[in-house]
Amino acid sequence: MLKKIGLFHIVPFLLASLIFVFLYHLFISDIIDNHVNIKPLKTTEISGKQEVHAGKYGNLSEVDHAELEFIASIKSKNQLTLMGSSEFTYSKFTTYKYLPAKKNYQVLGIGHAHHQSLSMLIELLAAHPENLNTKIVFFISPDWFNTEGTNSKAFVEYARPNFLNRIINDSTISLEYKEYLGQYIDSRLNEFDGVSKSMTSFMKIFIDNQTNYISLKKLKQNIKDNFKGTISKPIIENINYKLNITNTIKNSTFLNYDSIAKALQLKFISNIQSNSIYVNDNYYNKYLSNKKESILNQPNLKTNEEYLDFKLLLKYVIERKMEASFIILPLNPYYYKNTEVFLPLIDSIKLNLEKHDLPYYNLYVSDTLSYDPGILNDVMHFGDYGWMKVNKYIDSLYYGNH
Amino acid sequence: MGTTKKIIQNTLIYFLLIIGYVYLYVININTVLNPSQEEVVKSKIDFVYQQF
Amino acid sequence: MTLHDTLPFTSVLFFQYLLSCIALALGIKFVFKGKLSFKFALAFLTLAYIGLLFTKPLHLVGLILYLYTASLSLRKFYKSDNLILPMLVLSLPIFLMKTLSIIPSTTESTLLISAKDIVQIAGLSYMVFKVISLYIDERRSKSIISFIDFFNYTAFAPTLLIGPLDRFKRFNTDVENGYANMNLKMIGKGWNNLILGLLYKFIIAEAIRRYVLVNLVDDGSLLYHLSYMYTYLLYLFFDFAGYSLLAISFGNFLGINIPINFDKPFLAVNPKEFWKKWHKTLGDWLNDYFFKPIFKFLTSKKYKTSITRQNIALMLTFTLMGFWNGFQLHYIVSGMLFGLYSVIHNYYVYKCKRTKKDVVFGNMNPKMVRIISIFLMFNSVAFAIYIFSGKLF
Repeated sequence: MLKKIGLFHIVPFLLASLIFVFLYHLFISDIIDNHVNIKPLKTTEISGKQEVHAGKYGNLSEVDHAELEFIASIKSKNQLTLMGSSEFTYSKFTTYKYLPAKKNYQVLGIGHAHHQSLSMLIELLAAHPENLNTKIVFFISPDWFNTEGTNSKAFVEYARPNFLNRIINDSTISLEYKEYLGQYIDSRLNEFDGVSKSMTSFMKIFIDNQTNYISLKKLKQNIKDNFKGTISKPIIENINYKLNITNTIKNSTFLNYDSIAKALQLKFISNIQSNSIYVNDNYYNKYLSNKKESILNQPNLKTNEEYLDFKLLLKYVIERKMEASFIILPLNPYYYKNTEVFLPLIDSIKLNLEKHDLPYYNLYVSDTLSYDPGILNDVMHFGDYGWMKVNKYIDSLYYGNH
Repeated sequence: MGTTKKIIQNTLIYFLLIIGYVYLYVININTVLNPSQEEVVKSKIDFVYQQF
Repeated sequence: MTLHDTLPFTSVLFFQYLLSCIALALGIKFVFKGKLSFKFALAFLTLAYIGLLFTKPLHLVGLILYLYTASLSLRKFYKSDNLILPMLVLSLPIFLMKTLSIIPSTTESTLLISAKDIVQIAGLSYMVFKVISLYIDERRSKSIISFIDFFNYTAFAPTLLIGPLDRFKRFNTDVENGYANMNLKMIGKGWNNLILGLLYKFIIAEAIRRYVLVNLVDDGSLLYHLSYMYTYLLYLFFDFAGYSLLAISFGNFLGINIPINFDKPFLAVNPKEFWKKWHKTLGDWLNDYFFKPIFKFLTSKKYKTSITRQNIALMLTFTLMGFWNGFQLHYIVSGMLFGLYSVIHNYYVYKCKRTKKDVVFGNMNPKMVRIISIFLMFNSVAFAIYIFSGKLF
């Protein structure tokens, strides 16, 4: 019986392996090389005139030129870029609508739900040549830290092919960021249907840096590296943005932020009929009629993926000397019963920001007494009153007006 | 004769398994055979973005 | 670990599950000297798969309970020889599932969505067929089949999703033999099937799909349709045959001789031979539980001539097969087309017998006849499968 196994399986397997190794070294890699014309690195130029100085994009696929407008916004010394997530609504009091409308400031918002630290980091890395000293505001929602970081769907949406290509081709970007992206892609590999050349290249950087030598991943990477030509060195198109930056002229309209804000707050509170937790009626009736409260999980600052992403984003912001500020949103403590569990996280974020002299506006509260009703429209998104407070803060910080 | 035929058959099977694995699952040979093919990356996660 | 998302042979996790089953069974055999009876060990392992990895565990268990209760009730209360009612009762789940599947999603209400969620269980069609064959074969037997034997037979993980369709007596005999069947010979057999199955499904079928099928450009031309037709047929064969081989191999490792499903189908010279070579277990099932009863019934009614009765039975059998695949038009038409092929061949055989000569090929060289037959059969199958694919309509 064992003789049969040896004869019919072990011998053929060894023979097959020998034949494969023989062909692999002699013919195969050369045949592949000869089949493919090795083209030089291709650079695609995307050029255009900046036309958008107000409003927001949920993502950069919304319109054809959204990607270009984003890069231009980062590049422009006169334009403020806001990065946020689900609080970016269509309300006319949002900063990217209000300040341009009232004062002709240039403000562009980017984001919708699931636009979080990693996506923002990738977008900024892609604008590496343009982002030195850029004016940028980050809206941090504590809810991000309740998720498992950025999922693959959000990654596919925000880590655009042009952006990944640009990052991988830019040798001035530190390997640390590329390796981090490679690790992210590798850890979520089975969530992707199809992997691009740039994603594979990021993974290679991560795998090459692994010190664990006995790993299937490393073995597969070694096999790939032994193939010549475009298998080991894929040609990834480089992107060059050629932008014509335009400016608007600010006006010096005086705005009484406090009184406008107060009016909005009173209006919001008086409109609520269905509850006493300061949530607008629509939202309350739709989502909260059956679920009146929620418990938060305390994020572990050592392992929380979103927090690790955020720290790297912060590192990059500091490295590029961006004129950055951070708005920390609150959660509604009437609904979330244990908002104090986020305090260590918020304190840690504040400490990091203070250490590098980065301004922030912390609106997070851990009890109902400290909660300013109307700041949020519901359990976690800014209401018009909240936006006015932010507008005042931003106008003061970036434009010197109170 | 049957024995030799079986050995050859199994050698072929193992060879195809090895070469198939390397070409399909280690190096994505498709990128070499069709270099100009647009890379489409999708997420397998399917959910609706919610405000909540 | 992706719990409740692992259908058979669709991910590495399933293979890991199977390997642990084999290791556990071997462990019980050699270390514990078979202290735990094989059928209980098998039931436990099957339950573990359903409970942890299968997509809808509760639905599946519910289905099995329904089928078991229905079979027992029919056995106890239904004494007639007419098999239509039992078949209808047992195939009610299939009927519900296929009907609900054809309702377009734009008209879905929440009630409909919930209903669909309940009945759309992976492997349902195959399970129902297995139970029908069990009921028909065992309804007159002296002893009632225990739930554990029923459970092992219907929910056996490697064959759960798309077969091969086993028969109860044969399967249970292997289970009764228990650990004794888990010997080197079976492991060798299993290994042979495993390497071939892996090659077919994960290398050849995958290569065809990745490098040919997805690259075919639909420009409506005849060339496109022909290319797609032949490529799809080859893809389907390697994928399905590979899957069957994998299911058989893991059955072998556990000491169970799952019947083969594919045996050089493209060398078939006529439809009758084809269905003994392509999805053989389905062909055998249809023959034993659709064709023969229908023909017997028509004969008892002395309906027309024997050849007419045969052709009607053939046509009905294959049309039913079409419906079994799905209530969509392309499945039904494809089934009917296969029926037509069988009817034509049946009539040809009848004519040859009557006139004592070959009415089509005459005195042609037998080798030539064989080649032409294979060519005709291959292309007819290709066309019918192309319709089955749903690409045309």
